[in-house]
Amino acid sequence: MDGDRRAAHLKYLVEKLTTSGKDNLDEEKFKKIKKICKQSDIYVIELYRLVIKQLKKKHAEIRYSAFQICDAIFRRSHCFRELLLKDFMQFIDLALGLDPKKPLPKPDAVARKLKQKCVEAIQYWYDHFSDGYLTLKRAYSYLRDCKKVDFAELTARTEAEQQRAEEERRKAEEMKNKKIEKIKRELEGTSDEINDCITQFHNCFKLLIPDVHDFFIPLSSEEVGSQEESLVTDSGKDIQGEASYGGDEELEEKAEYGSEFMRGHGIMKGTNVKITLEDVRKVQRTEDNEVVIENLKEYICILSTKLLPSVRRWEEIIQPYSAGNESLIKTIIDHKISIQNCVKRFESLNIVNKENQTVIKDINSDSDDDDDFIEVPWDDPRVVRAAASEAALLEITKHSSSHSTSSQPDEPDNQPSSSGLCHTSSQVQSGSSKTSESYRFPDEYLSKGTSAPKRHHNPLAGLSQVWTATADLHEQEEVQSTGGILGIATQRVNYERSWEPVKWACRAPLKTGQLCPRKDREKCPFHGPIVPRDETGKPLRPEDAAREQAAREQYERDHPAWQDPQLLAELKAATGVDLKIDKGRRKRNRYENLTDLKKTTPKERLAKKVLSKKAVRRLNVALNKEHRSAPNTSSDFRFS
Amino acid sequence: METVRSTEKVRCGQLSSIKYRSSIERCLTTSHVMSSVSLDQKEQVATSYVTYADLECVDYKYLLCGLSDGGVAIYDTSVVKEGSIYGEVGSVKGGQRGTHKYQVECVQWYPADAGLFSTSSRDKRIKIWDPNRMKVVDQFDIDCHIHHHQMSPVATKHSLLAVAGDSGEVILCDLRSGTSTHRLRGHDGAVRTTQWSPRVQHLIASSGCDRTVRMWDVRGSHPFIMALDANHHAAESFRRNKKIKRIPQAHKSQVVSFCFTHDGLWLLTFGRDGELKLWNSTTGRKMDVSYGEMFTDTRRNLRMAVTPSMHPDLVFLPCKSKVLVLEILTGRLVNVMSGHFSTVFGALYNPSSMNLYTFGNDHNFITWTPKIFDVNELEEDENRTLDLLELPKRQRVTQDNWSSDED
Repeated sequence: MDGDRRAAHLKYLVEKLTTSGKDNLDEEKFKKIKKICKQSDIYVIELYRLVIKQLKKKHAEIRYSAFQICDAIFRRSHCFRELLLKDFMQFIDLALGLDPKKPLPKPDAVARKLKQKCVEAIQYWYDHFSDGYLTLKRAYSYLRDCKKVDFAELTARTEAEQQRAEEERRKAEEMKNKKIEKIKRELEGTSDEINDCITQFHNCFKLLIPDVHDFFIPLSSEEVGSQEESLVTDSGKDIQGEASYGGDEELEEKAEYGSEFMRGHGIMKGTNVKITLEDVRKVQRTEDNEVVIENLKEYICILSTKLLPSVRRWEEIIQPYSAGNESLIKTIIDHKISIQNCVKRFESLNIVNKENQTVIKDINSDSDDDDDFIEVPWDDPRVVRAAASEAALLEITKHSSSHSTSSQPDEPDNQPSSSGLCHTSSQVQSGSSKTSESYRFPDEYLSKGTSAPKRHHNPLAGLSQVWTATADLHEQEEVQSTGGILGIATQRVNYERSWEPVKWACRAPLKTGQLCPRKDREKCPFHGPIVPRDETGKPLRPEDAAREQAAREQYERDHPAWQDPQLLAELKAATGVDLKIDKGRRKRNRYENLTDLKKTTPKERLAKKVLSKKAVRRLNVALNKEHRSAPNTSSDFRFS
Repeated sequence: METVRSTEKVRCGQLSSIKYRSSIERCLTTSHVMSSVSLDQKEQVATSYVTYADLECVDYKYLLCGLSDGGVAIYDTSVVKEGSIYGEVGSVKGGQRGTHKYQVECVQWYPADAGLFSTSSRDKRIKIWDPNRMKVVDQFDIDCHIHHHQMSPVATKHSLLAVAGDSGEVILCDLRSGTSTHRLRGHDGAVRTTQWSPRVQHLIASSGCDRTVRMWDVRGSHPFIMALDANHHAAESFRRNKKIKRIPQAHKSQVVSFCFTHDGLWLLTFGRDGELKLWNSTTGRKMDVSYGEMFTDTRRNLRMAVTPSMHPDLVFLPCKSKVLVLEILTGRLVNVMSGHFSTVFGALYNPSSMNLYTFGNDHNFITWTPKIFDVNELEEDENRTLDLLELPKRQRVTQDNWSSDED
């Protein structure tokens, strides 16, 4: 009797332990198990039976906990070892999952851990017990030799997995070699160009600004100045446009001590003015150095737009494979640094044009970063003036322009709701082309006639509002200027929609006693189609009232009043009985600690929809259509 | 208990001493347990494993093993070196000169002495070896894959090597002339196994993928004698009824293993359909012995072993990962030996030591020894109170070790 009680207790404990879903076994309960098992081998046998039963469950967390019990008892009980080793293959299948037909159950993370721990445990068992148990020895060598369980790294992978990993590694290696090879080839091809470019740049630069260190500076700076071809001036000192002199030095030379100039600047005798020419980078463009500057710009353009990005790309590609390719990397980085230096040097250069105030445009025309079009603010008086004159030319009434501006809704209250249907409120206004006034569009007649048909052209909105067969502005102007017969070919249609604010509210009664203030055109998202209601919110028409009543009854049937969560909570607190009705037929999980395997992640749900056969088929059809229609559209463009 | 009773019977003269010995042996063989003795297993991952083995039949001492890498190895089963491994006599590793290209399919000692052995492989070659020098002395090139080969154990007038070829022929190679002399045609599909009769030197049986088991007489120009027929109890004789077109089938599926009993009177066949059948080898009559349900999952040849001259003879039948021990004539299952983890390829019985050797797909080579009644064990059971450290290692390891804090 006592034994039965203990066995039942054992069963209870094992079930509790294995369904805890925790990483480690509960010490308290496990100690109880050990205590029971210690008393007799009968309990060990019973425990073995129970544990194997749990191990067979298709849930990795249950298996993991069961395996932990196995491991702990295996280390202690001889009887358990014998039992386990007798059915060792079964145990291996359940805990290691080496059979590709019977993989470990989900969740994957726990399954991986189970595998890992199992290999570790077998290694431990082998180290400690293999002398006493032949089967263990044989099983170990079997797992090692046949199943390719790597006990050295404590990983158990199936052969297929190993092969796949090997394949992947090989592919990566191949890819890497290919990449490196390609870079090497490119580098070989381009390094000459880079070097050429850099030397030429430097030479040009030297021509433009000679390096002070490059030549001996004689005491008389006149000689220096005479050698210079370019103009180097200090900022602010070259207003008078002095030519061909390294500014300050020459200035100092000119202004002998005690002169007006020196005195004016408060420079005393014996003052040494040191000027580093390195920083002097202002160059005035003259006819002499124009060619050099152009060349310089050209080289820097090549360097910064073509060569530098490619060098950077190589560096990026080769970064992960740095081992073994140091020399290659070094070359690449050297190239990069030298190019960057060049660019920096150029950027520090300040090229001043000779006549910078007078003719901006002429100089701008040769610089590459200038836009063809200048953005002009919309409210620029000049533009307004021009537009007005244009409008006068086109005989546009003030009314139409004001109309178009008023059509822009500005109060947020009047924003059209998406639930309203557009076509009923939108008015189609059509204006025929200016040349053919008599020509009318059928849409015009369809409109309600609230606004008389009028020619409508808004110059401020630009011509883009006009739908024409030709998109080009210039051509449009041509058409306009030629007018007459050609005008017929281009029919301008203005789709205009007059905004009409919603005058009614939903007015369905709310729980708070108020009426729903939402203003929708057709249908309230909460209360359905908008129907006329009286002051209390009741529908005026009897059929609407009946429908609403039916809906309410349906709701009450689904949610009885006593299922109010607050009431239920109170009841539960008072009586301890949970009266909550479970929605649907879904059974509550028996073991809430375990991970629910049936639960799907949002990603899976989306994938199911997006990658479903139907969706894919639809996508294919759409793509096909697009593919087929592509040539047509291109031919359309050819006409314009 | 039975042995004690038998001893009594011998004393009374009711049982001959020979029979007594065989019954003792039988008792022992039915109690085979796994032994720790094995082949030399390297600590590292083994590259080769035993695919076929043969025991030399003069003094049952030398074990010849064909390895998966094409090599061969000979072990002395009478010498057990430290670490529980058999002493290696000689070996040729796969890949060396003269070895087979692929895994060895079949090995056999020369039946008369241990001065010659033959190996065959999928590289379409049969090699004759000199075990003393471990060198190839002769080689037959066969034009098809070889599944099995055998020499007659009782031949005195010929030295023919029967080769089961993939082409559906039994090819007879003469060791004396070094050429293939004869081909026994008839099988539809590959021949899987050939067995010489241990009783009549010119009688040979072969089984193939076509589910038939055929008996041949190698002397005549019409060598086909008969095929075993599962449906009729008497086998159809080809000579008696020439009109018969269809060769009767012995099994519902391919025959994976068959062998003569030691006395050559009976023939045991085992099909892929999981049926073991017993036939009278002279009449081709199927005997009504039910061996029960068995399963096999391989197409490969299995080597089953029969005990020689035991009171009721036993057959050791590899059956998936287990080895079944059955009484041949009654069909009674006497023991199931499970120790392998994958398909067992074959079993070998050593009549002198009564050991059983099995090898299988799990790369393990297991020696099974009869359970020997050991007086010491009883005594040790009594002395459980001994200190753990004083016990032999095996004992020490197998002790329960509950920690004391679990009270």
